[in-house]
Amino acid sequence: MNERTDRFLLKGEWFDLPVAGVFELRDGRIALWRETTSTCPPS
Amino acid sequence: MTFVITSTCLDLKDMSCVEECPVRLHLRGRPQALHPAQGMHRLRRLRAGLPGRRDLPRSAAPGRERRGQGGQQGVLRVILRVVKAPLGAPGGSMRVGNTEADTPRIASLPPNPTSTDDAARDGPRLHGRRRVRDYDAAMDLLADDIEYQNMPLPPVHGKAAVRETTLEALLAMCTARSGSCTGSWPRIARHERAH
Repeated sequence: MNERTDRFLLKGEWFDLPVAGVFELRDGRIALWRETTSTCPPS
Repeated sequence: MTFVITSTCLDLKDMSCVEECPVRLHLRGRPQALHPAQGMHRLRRLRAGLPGRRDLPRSAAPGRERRGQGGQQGVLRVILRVVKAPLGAPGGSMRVGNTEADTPRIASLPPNPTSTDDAARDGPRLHGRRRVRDYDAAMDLLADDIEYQNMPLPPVHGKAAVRETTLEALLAMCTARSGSCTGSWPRIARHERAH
């Protein structure tokens, strides 16, 4: 799993988007790559 | 004088010092190098508040490197060789970009054990390869029938489609990345920030 914060510059302003990438492996290679995000503020 | 400030300068691209630096001193290579003509006197003040400042071996601590041993002059030589033009005083790292230049002594340091970008670590290294945008190498990490899901976008199937719609399309907009990881394979949580 990869947790990250993507920052976007939109109309001159930065906003942060928390993202988690979940990988499912098969034979050592990534067979499923799921990106999920949350719009909830961090607790 | 070395430009490696803390252990987070190696491989991780933690870049917390970059965010802290008010005048964009940093050149981006394996070490987040500082340009010698642009405020080296600020090093100690920057380092004092940074993570990982006690993790470097004594031989790699700031001030331990001498001229002629791959220090300041070495950085300049390597950078000059990589970019094939004198850097001069470029006015900050944003105008120089990533030099990928290491002095021989920095290159000889062991891989940062907390970095998943290191080839010695197990586990998928997709993100390390994305860092340098080596898409062909990243393809080797994907199964032929990979499915990429990113709601509310429709799922993407197959390596070629993932490369086109995700790796090349999305990462082309990415200008910087920093991060760290915790734990060990197969349960690695990597925390990063992409700009």
